[in-house]
Amino acid sequence: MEIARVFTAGSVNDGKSTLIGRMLLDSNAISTDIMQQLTALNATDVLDLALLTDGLRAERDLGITIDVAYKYFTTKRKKFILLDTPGHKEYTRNMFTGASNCQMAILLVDVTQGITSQTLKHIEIVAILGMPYVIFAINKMDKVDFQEAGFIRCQQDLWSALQSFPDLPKVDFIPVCALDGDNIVHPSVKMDWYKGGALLEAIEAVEIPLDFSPENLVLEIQGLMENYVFANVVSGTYDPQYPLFHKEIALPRLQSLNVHGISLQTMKQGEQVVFSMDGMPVFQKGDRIYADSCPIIARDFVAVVCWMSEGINESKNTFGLISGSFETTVHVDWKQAQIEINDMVEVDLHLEKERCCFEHTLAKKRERFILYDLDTFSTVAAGMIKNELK
Amino acid sequence: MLLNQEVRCLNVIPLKMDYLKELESEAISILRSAAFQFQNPYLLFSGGKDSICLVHLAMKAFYPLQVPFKLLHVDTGHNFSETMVFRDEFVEKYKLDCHVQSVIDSIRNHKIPDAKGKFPSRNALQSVALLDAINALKIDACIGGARRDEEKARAKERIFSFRNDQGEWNPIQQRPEPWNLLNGKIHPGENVRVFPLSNWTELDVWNYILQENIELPSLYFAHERLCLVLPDGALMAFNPYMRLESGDELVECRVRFRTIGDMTCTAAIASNATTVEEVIKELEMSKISERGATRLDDRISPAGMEDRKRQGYF
Ligand SMILES: Nc1nc2c(ncn2[C@@H]2O[C@H](COP(=O)(O)OP(=O)(O)O)[C@@H](O)[C@H]2O)c(=O)[nH]1
Ligand SMILES: [Mg+2]
Repeated sequence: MEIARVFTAGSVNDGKSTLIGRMLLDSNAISTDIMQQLTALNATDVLDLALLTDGLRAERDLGITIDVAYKYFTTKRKKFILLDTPGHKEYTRNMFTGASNCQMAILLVDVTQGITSQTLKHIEIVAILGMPYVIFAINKMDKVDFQEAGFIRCQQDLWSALQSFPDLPKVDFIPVCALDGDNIVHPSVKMDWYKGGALLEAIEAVEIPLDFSPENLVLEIQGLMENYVFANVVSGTYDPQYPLFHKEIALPRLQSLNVHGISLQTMKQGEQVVFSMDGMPVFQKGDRIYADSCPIIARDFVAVVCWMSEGINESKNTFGLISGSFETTVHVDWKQAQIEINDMVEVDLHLEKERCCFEHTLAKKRERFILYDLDTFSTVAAGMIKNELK
Repeated sequence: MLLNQEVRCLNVIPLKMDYLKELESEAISILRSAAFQFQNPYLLFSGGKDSICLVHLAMKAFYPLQVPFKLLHVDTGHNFSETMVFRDEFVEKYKLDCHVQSVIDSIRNHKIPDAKGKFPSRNALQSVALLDAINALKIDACIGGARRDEEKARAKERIFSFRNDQGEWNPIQQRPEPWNLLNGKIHPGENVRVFPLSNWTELDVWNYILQENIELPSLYFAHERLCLVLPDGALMAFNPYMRLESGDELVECRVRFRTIGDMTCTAAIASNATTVEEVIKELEMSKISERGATRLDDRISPAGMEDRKRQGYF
């Protein structure tokens, strides 16, 4: 059994929260007491399924989603983590938070509204993040009498919008009615012109590509205690035949410790390891240890940044940067005078400390970072390094 | 139309174990981040299954070294004696350093009224004691076993959840947390709540307990106990703090606890499950959520948990 992390996106009121609620309800993943709470909260006799995920008082009062809600359910094949994210422009940072932690997107479009500017913003975010799989759920089909025409129109508009993005994810289009449950868990009987499966079937069936290369071992040091190095495996597996390097210098033999069945010998990407060595060099938190890959050790990089705070001008350019366990101060060359909330821009980064990256981690968009404000310490931007600045 | 539809039996399917490895790895990475980002992190230990799992994960995360966190137990004075015995033996056995913060001391020092009523719960007062401990011990991070699947306000919370210098949570201004990149930067007086089990469900925790053979207090398994049956069917374990009224009848029941909180606000459930496997089977069939089955304190208002959390609760 694998874990699949899926999120909903799309404009305000396209039915994201309703769709998550419907999916949980029709998979019998809602307990009786939660159902009772839900009915008690409802003023009318049409159940407001959005109340299942809109868990904050402000969200219930305003009838909108402000922050990501995490919901859990399992089927025979997968353990799902469902994230309901907000559609409002001003909460795009929360949508981004949710999206970045997922491998699949359900992007909703209200068939009566068509594509909006937020739909396009979300497609842009999904594309920038390199999401492998996106399902476009064309919702509120009940409002067009379940006729095919509206669905086709949305599908065509989405196709043309997608053409402007270079690496397209795998996409599917499903006509749904989240309110009544058509094509959510159960196939709809009202749209016989649609030959595909329901939404749940689609997200269950998809094979999430393993973002994993067995060669290219890279470890990142999380921290040091006494004579032990605590690290996580950024990529690859270990072959004891080959030496490991740190800052282009070969390391003495590692003494691997076996923790919960994971030692250097058996480790793979995503796992947590600990080791020690005789004659340990000066390691620092965030340093990387690698096998055969050719490292790019530099201070200056080109990156894509999503700005998540109020607008600023280019003179605000010094921030704290966190990337995994690596921390430094950074000067950002914005290359434009004004940066507004939710802008996604290409910038130059000048790091105070050297960072060690690799061709394969850059190619897979895995050199991710956040920027925080040096006075307030709040997180103000998220980004990905593209390449070294030459 | 939906209102009349009966909610069918929850078809939770038993899981194979490999997904647990992913959850474990995520939790260990969060625990390591907490250890390496903060000066003075404490692990909130209640003697319940979630915090016991947390300690187990922390032992794995820092093996072969000792757990680099001190424990903090906020003691309401209304704990089950089984929990207290378990806590003391556990701390002794694993050579942990546990600070006990007494809610009664906080009540006295702040001259706030003690809990009243038929079931006088000091649950909400725990926030006061927790904030007292944070101030007195200069704690910058509290690692807790809360899970997003427990409750709808918790479903909204970040892994590193920021608290201002009053200990307050502002749920509509949370720091973005893309790619689970954890920002633990704070000013003196502020603190961060760290939730390594964010993405675990109740069933995940039990499957992990089974896999790792983790010891739990006996309260989690079926035993005979004198209970007061409430009008809605909830079973309140008889305890010296409840005020019995005439007409109240105590019945000997076979029960276990799904959560272990304050004796005065945690209900038991009727159960015959005496082993971890049996508990898992029982939960797979259960139609009631964990807190719905056991917590009187959540029944007060739809925003009960959110309000408590805003004021500094775990
Ligand atoms: N007619 C119709 N209304 C829907 C459907 N799905 C959602 N809605 C309604 O659209 C409104 C917004 O839904 P909500 O889930 O809160 O949208 P969100 O902002 O995308 O989360 C609510 O009034 C829903 O009842 C649908 O399939 N058909
Ligand atoms: Mg919503």
